[in-house]
Amino acid sequence: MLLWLGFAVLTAGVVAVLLRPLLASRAAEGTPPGASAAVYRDQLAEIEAERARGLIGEAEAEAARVEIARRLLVSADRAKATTTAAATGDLRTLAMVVAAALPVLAIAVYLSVGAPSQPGQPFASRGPVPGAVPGVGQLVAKVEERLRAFPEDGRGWDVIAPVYLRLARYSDAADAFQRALRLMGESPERLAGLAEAHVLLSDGIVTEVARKAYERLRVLTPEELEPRFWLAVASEQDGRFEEAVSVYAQLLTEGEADAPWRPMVEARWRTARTKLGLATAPVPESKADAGPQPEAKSEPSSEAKSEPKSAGMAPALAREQAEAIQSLPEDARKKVIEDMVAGLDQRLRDNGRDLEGWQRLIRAYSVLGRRDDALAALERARAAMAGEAPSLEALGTLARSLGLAS
Amino acid sequence: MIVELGHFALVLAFLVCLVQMVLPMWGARVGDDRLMGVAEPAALAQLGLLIVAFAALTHAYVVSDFSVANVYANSHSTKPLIYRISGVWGNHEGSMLLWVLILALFGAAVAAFGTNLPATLRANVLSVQASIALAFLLFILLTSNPFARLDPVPAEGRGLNPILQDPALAFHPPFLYAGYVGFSMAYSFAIAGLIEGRTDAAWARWVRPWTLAAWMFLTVGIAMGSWWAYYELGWGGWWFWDPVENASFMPWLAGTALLHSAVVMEKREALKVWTILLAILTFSLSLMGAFLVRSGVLSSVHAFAVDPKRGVFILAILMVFIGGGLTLYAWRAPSLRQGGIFAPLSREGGLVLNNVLLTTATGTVLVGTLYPLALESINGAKISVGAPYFNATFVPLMVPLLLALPFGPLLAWKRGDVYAALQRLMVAGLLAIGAIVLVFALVERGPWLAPFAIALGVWVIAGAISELLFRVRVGNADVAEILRRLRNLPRSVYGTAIAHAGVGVMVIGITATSAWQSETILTMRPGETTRIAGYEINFKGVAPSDGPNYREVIGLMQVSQGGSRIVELAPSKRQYNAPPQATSEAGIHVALMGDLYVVLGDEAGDGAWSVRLYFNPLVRLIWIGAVIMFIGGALSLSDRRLRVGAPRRVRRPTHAPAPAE
Repeated sequence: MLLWLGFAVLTAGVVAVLLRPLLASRAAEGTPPGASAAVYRDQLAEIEAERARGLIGEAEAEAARVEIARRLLVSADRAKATTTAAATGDLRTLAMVVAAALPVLAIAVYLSVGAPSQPGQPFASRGPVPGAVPGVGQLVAKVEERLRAFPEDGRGWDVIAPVYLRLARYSDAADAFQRALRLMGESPERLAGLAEAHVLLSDGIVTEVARKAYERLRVLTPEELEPRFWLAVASEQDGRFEEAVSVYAQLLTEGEADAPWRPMVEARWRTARTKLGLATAPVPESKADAGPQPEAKSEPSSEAKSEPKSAGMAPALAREQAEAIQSLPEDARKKVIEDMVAGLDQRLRDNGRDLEGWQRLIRAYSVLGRRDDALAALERARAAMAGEAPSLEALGTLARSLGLAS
Repeated sequence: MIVELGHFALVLAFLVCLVQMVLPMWGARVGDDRLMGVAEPAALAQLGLLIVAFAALTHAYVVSDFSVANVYANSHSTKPLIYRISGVWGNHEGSMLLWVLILALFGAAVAAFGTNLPATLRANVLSVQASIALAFLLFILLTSNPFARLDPVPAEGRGLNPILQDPALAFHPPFLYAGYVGFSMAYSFAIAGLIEGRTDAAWARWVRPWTLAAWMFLTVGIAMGSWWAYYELGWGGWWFWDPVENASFMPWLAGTALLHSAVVMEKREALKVWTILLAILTFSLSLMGAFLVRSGVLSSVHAFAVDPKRGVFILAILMVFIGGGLTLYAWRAPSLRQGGIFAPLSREGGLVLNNVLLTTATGTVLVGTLYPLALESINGAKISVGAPYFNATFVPLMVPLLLALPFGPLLAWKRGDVYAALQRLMVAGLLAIGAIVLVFALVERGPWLAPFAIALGVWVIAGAISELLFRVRVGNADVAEILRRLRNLPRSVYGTAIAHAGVGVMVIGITATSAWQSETILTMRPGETTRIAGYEINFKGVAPSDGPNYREVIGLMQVSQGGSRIVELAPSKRQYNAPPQATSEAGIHVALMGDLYVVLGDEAGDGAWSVRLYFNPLVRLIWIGAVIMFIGGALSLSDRRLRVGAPRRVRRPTHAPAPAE
């Protein structure tokens, strides 16, 4: 209502101002005779003053006076020639039209573009909107305001950092986690958050900062799978696919069968294998139900050494076999594996038309450190596959990646 | 509610413009002063309404009312107050509102102070002024409404482009627009003069000061833009011949020409027809500048509006006002009476030379700016015309202009004596030659033309001083008498001399920084030291810091010279939060001989950072020169005296005193 009152006041004011000259009685004289003449008269006075101050000489002043006099005469002639034309009659009708049309048009135009029913909503006075989630934005703004005043408040950064992460403000999140780490000390949550923020900030690339954070987490929380996964991604991104594949495989074996991350890791595993030139193989299945794994608790460095052997084999084994092998003591496990490799070797002697088998065999020998056997197997595979270009190419790639190429 | 009140005021202003356009012109035609009398209250009402509208939008920005689409798109609740205010015109819609507000301000000035104007001229001028405002208000209401609302209301705004969050840029658009729009006065007067078929003394009396005011604003506006580009964009350059820069530079060149021809017109009633044409062209170039920037036909830093609908609309405005103005000119100009006659070698002749050179220069800039656009629309090739073109075309035109500049004020009106002027400039010439020798002696590298360009600047400054000294007739009076005469000199004479000296100062700055800039790009580890232009720069490392709406990494640079510490520079890389965008802030050390300019680049790993170092000799003189020009203009503007050019007699009286020189 107040708004419309405002409109009315504005309109009335404008109409009144515009109508006043229209409704005034005709001025007695029209144009003040010769506004130009006035200018010239001023100019004459000016020249006189300049002459008196000694700025222009007598001769120049005289010349200027003559010049102005000439202009004055011309303008006087013209003023006579243009007497005012016939006057228009009464302007009352015109005034009425303006007074009526202006408000109507104004309202019409305004209604087509404006939003009279929408109130202004200054940021500061906006309370929580009923029905909506009570403003995360506002809460964040409050914390931010406080942190601007007290930038050393570690708890504040601790609180806001995960919120930033949720709000997809990754750069802010990374910064906040970093500050929280500095002010409040190291904690797995902060490290994980920092790393995650950095990874998300750089579109999935595990940056140096993130990698370091995950490595630290690996030490702090060795039972966590996530740091291992991201470190594997980092190796993959560095071009160390084998390392990545083996860790993925481990994760898939150790993780629970219905873990939400499983499809993602499986996809990663497949892609990395493809890049290595490995043929498709059944995805390693979870054996988390099989109880605690001894090597998961072991020290990371020794694990890293022992891992590739079992990991290199694991994908090719059927579930029961894998389970059985994993539960065996170290020596027995090696024995079983070697038996299996020998079995595979024998099978391929009987039937050489199995690229996947050959690849697995060559890898196995290579992983077990039996380089001569690996080279021999490669020779035999090439002979068996003679004439099949794609297969030979795959074997070549494999040989190169295992360092068997001469 | 305040927002909607502003919106309504905008609509009302549009309708008032309609009345102001139609009734006064009709009144002038039939000779009814009641109809003509509508012009003044209408112009004042228009200004009042637009102030309401502008204040309403500003209020919405200040309180961060994100229910206004424009505020949502260009502001953020954490933005500092000054940038919330400057954000009003830091975007397309708001800047258009500022444009019409300034237009109304000039119109209201005519209404308020124009009582000594002939009634018909005043009515016609205000009517033409209203037609320009009408076109832009229609443009705003139809395509770029700053009061459009949002429902539901977003929680937070998107923020202002961080590179625009800067003090110089906060005030750059208002000055620029005051300049652009100020030329609308000259245009309105020109059109009104053409409609009436005559231009009298009052016409010229009005056009010159308003043109001067517009020119002053434009000078400062362009200088601010250039200064901003210098320290904010971090390229160490101050002028890039960017189409948007050219868009503001062309009206400036044409406006400078107009300023000088308006002097001739006021003092001598000569060059009337030419002045009218220049007035139309100058404002046309201002409109074209608005078109180039606003339509988004250019893609550069400034082009923040990309919307073909708007482009077509502005093109239509352009066609109506430029095409209409020129058509009217072609039709009516022959009926205008030509004014005073003059010899080729005279003050007038000098100003004609000035006009010829300046308009040609405008033409070359115009070609350089539009050629890429034309080419792109013909065969789709995207080229950019840059410094080499302008150095080859624009600079050679400036050389004769600067050479001739000191002569102008020393020549008499109507018929002048070049030989006498040359004698008076003897000292200035010697100084210029001295400057060449000195520069060659002091500087061992750089282009061989540079010393000559420096000499040109010295020549212009010394010439301006020579003019003052000649005016007070130094040489035939004692000190007290000279001081008395200096006091008595009209301010306009000082204004001319100071503005001309400002040009000289600027020329020296431009030459020095273009010819002798040094530049180094390197990677520095903390603790490392490098040298540039006699400075040792020690990189101490980086540190994080927080601003109100950004975070930054500051590089600490200890600058020393000859072992003594001078200053610590802190160039930084900023990451703004809304919108998320990175900017770099240069660290600049200002010294007498030039600026040390340090930019922090990217991290190069292992704690090393890429760093760019520049030394820009005498670069400040460019902006100091612009400020001096502004001061000169202000002095001249403050001189409210009427001007008459007093010609000398052909034959001097025999008792004339001996020549001053």
